Amino acid sequence: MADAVLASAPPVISYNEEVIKKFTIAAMFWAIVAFSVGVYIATELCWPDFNFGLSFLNFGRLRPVHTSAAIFAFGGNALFATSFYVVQRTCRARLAGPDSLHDFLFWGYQFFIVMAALSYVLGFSRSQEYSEPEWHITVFLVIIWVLYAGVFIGTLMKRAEPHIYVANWFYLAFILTVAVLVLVNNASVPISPFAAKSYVVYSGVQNAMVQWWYGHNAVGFFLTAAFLGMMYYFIPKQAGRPVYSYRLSVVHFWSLIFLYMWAGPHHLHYTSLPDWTQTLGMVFSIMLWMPSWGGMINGLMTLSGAWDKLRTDPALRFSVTAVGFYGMSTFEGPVMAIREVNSLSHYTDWTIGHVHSGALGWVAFVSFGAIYYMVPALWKRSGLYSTRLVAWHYWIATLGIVFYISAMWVAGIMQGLMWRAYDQFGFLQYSFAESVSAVHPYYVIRLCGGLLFLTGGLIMCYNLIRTVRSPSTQAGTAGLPAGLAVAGE
Amino acid sequence: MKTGGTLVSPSEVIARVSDIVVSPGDIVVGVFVAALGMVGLVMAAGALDQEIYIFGLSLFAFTAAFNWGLVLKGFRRGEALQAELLRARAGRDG
Amino acid sequence: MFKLNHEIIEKNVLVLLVLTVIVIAIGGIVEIVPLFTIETTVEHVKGIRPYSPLEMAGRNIYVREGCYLCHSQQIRTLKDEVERYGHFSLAAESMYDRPFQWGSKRIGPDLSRVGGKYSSDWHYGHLRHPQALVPESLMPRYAFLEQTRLDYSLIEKHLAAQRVLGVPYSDEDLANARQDLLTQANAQADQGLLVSRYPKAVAVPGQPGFPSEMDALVAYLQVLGTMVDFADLGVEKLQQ
Repeated sequence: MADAVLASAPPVISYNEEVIKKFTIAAMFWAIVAFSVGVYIATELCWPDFNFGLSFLNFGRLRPVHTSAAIFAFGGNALFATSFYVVQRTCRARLAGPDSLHDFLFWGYQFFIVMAALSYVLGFSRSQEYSEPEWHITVFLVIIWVLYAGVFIGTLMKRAEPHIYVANWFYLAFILTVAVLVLVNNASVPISPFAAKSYVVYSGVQNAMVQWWYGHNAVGFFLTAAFLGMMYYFIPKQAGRPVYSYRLSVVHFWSLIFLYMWAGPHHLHYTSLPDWTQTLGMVFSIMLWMPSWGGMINGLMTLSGAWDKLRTDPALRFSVTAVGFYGMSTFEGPVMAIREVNSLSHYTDWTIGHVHSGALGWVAFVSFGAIYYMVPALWKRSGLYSTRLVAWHYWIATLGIVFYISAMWVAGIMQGLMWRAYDQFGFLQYSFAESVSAVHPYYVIRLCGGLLFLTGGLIMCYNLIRTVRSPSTQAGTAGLPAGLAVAGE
Repeated sequence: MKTGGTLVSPSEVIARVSDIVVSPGDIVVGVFVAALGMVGLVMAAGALDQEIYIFGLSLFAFTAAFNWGLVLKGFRRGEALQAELLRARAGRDG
Repeated sequence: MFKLNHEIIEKNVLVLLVLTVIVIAIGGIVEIVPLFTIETTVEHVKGIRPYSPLEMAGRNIYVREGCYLCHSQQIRTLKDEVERYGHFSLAAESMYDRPFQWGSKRIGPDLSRVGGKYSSDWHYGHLRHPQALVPESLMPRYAFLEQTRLDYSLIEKHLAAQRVLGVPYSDEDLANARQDLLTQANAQADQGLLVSRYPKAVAVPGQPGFPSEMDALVAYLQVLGTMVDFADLGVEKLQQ
């Protein structure tokens, strides 16, 4: 038998798909966790009694659990899964390094997630947004990240394909930039190597600038550039069409990664950050609209000649709708970055609405599209268990997003207007407390939106589990499953 | 190398001698992970707050479990290789 | 011709990597570095001082509980905001804040100048059960802070770490850290020495010798926004 293997003719590239399967399962698991915690904290904002006076359950400690779970656990695992899927296939090379290293990347990253969430709940947080884990957990993350970079870059270096495919430029930029961002933003002095408390090197206004340079680019690279990499592989694959424009991808890649890094100060309009910095941030945020829409155009126009596939492939619908939401969010963002608009929107729920149109509409949807494509391929099934369930997921989730963002737009603008309203005598018309009770109905609507989105996620999990296990989706022939075939109906 | 008149390949010799199949990369990973585990123990031992204590012990437990899995996989690969070679030899002799 | 140029990048990992790192570094360097080198970024005003040990302990509780998620600490240069909360925030006022807690969301009001606005008793009552004092409030109950004894065993390490980063704690401050903390947490004790080291520090009515986490938090809240005397300031002093 061993001789037979030695004697076989052309070398078949075997990709490491086991680790991709693990990351995909983890992505879905953490998605449900993230959505559930989100629903719970939304409930706390409607009825604060749900905090129960318990330290480990209150909004202040749970909110970072939700944001970390959504960004790093759900988003991060989806990126690991897809980046490893894409880089191997587009390089026609197996993932660099021993398989045990890939396994360590997987388990180590889950360990990081669990430890971070546990630390917030126990009352240890740096309280800098999306950068909450204390120094000891960040050190561990840096180890994982360096290894991730090594594996990804190593795979690029051993590629059999001379050109590096565009998706990999985006994944690479994401990996490198996140490394820079995390290292700079976390520069701190622990009070002791045996205590989970550190003081960040920067203070006050400099801390604010570094934090929002970090925070905006956590969004720009972790949640945007990386997922654009995902889009650049999975949309052409699902549509069966090449990317619309090579030149556009080159132009928008370089301008996107350049311009994004300047946008941070739009989080600090009218604060004690100097005016010149605020203006730079605003101007570059507005310019950023162009390369963002470049990406959107490239993604959408790839469907040119294949629009009818949207009728038959609900998974493709997720990917394409994602690009639509991406376009919406990357228009809303620059608008909100304008100082005068920001004077109304800052500190309000409009910001939350904007975040979630991007997080749910773009990030989650493009991930769903990619995962629906990958699962049948990875587990060698003939197709998804039920495309009808995918359609249900799509409509329920989209409705959830619409409820969520509309509720937040109304609440946010209402808050902004109430805070600046004067009565006929020239006094402030509303107390702060009045603005809180005014938005309560919209918080309930937002909760409904979140519940719908969670329901959609659960439907997806059910569908994927059946896809993997059901006899109805067993691969019939040796042909590669297209992910488009209907099974189990 | 000859054994009892049947030609034995070098891999069969290895399989008979070694029950575990690991690459040099696996060993590097295992040693590195073990070192991390030691760091965890040291942190837990000197912990000044609950978080470092829990993190240190968890890190140790995680690395121990990971290396246990690494070793187990090595033995499974060894078993599989031995089984395959036995079948190959039976096929050739039979 | 354009296509050919990019091929050099696309066919070479190292070139792609180096160019990417250079391109992404520029924005941050331009926006961050001058904030350290332009001298007027942090305004030259009088009165700003490091936090006292008890205030520091209280601040760390504020930080770990994620209070900044609902409460901002930054009054913007907007008319209605200044009218509602007080003078707009100066960069100098958070110059020793590690981390800054300007916040990005107001589910509760801004706290930059909450110091001195309410009595300490009000704060204790509000933290225990916010809705008893503000029925519309969405704030969780923090009564558990009152039941938790403040662990100040590492307080010198906290001050020392910040001193390494440039916060002007003196040797005297470090040596007296524990005593200062206990003094400030005991309203009946003589606050003279404490106030000479930390002007405008507010003593809180904690149980003498056994400060709770709530005592620390209230001491911190009561100093917010009180350090700078705005009557003293001309516009020229505030130019960045």
